[in-house]
Amino acid sequence: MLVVGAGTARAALAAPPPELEHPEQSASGALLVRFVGSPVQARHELELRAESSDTALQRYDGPGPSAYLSGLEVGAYSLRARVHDETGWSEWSAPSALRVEAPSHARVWASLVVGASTFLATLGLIVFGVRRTRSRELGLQSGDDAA
Amino acid sequence: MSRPELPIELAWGLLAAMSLLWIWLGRFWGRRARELDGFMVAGRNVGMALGAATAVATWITSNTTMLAPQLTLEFGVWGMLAYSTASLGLVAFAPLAARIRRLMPHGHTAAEFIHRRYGRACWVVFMAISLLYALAWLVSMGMAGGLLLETLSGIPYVQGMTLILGVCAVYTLVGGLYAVIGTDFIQSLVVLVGIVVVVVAVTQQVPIAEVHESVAAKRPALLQVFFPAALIAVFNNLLFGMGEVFHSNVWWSRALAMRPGVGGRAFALAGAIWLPVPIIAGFLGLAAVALGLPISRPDMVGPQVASAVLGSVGAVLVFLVVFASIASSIDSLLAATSDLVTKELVHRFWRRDADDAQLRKIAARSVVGAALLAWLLCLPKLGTLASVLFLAGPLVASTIWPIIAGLYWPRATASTALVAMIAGSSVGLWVYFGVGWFAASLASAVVSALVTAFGLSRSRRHAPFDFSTLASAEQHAT
Repeated sequence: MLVVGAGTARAALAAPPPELEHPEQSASGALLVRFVGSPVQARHELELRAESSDTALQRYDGPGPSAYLSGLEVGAYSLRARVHDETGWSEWSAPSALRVEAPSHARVWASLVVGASTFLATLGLIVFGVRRTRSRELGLQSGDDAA
Repeated sequence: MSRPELPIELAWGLLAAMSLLWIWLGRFWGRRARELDGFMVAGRNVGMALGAATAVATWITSNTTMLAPQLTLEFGVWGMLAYSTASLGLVAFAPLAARIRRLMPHGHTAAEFIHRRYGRACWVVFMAISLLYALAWLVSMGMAGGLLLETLSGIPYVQGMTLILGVCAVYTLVGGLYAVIGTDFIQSLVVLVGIVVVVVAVTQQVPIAEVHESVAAKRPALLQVFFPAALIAVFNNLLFGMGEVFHSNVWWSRALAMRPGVGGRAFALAGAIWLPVPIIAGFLGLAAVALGLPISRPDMVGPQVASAVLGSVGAVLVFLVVFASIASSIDSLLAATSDLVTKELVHRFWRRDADDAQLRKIAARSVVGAALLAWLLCLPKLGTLASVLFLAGPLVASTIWPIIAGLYWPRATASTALVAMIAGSSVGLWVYFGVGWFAASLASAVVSALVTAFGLSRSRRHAPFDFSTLASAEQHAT
């Protein structure tokens, strides 16, 4: 009880932790996390941990209203944040879950194969068109010369 | 984000100085734009240096300088490499530019080619795509100008947006394509020198090896060779870029403005010059990781790195680069849209008997009209308008094959081109809403290519088109 009371007294002095607003899932391993309910210019700290680990993988320490994280591997993560004001740091916010799920390899390879084929076919059409036109023009020219 | 150290008074001073410079240069270069051909196609006498510079400057938009670092931060090395493939659109257009100039020595617009080559029905579809795309690009650039000036310096959005659109409209109005191409030359130098100075200064503070080491330790996924989310969109974006260049009157007017024999080399050189720009600018995204900067807004990571390394000098450089890159695109869009309105709408339907002097006046009024329309659409600051540009991806990608076939295959038919554009656009839009933006342009290009290839394979029984008919000036009989 004493501990809870002390915490309550501290919470009354410090700002409440910011709420986190972010997509639940990311395909690229990048995401923008918005801090809701905290002063924009205040110092914010955001911590990202892999679900299976206690070590922070990425940390944002800067002003609001948002933080940008990127380069996350496929997996499950949790985020939490706190804000600093003249009375000190707030409590950490409740952990918020994030999943990074990349597109399937089959989908990526299909895009690459179809895309590369279309692009190469387009280049081929141009090259073939240029050569065909040039040889036709040369043919016409030599015909004129012969005449 | 730590705000770039650019006081608003200094920002206004820089804007005033640059605006006066652009207008003066526009007047200086545009003094020969009294005739219609001078105004619309710069007298058809643009040489290699100006030709390559205008293509580079126009293709470097605010996206190139601001979005490349963001894409690198999101997709790692693949982000910058994928963006740089947009240069292939310019390179692939090089032979087409040479062919266009040879076939249409008196031509003015891309739509004129479509009308004469494929007829009215194709022209209607093509004009709808062209005008939608040009307006979307123009509005997105106007909005980007207002937003970036506001973010970089605190200049209110409406004032910044109005000023940038107004200045571009004034010098385009005064000097037509002469002024656009001339100012593009200076603007391309400002952009290229600005980016290189910022990146060199950054590498002095954090060497490339250190950046690599830091990114590998802090965000190793950014260096992955197989990055699924980045790879899935590589060819989609490449084909979107090709569609943009192949169909847009911005590029056709340049091809028609260049001296005979110049267009092909100028576009190829422009592509080669443009290729490293997103890579150099994108490096700032990786440098931000190495510098340990807190990234609050990914779209502002470039200015943030420049300010962190160079202080207020970096903020001034970024401001100049952004203003120059946006102006170089807006002026080109105003000129190209004015050409389309003047020749394809007013001259074709309303003032068929207008002579060149009258059309010259109409072209000037069209510049003002396009700028006013863009200003009105930019005014409400609707974020969703920018997404219209991405929506245009499947539309423009559907024009690639019909344009190539129309330029080189005498038996390519109007019905093939029409079905290719409509089917490609429809499937592309369906994929855009049903699957996602990352596959829409690709789907459109694939369908359009298949339809065109099928049409060409069955075209032997059709009478060949006589390309020499394109050589004369188009007549609009009353």
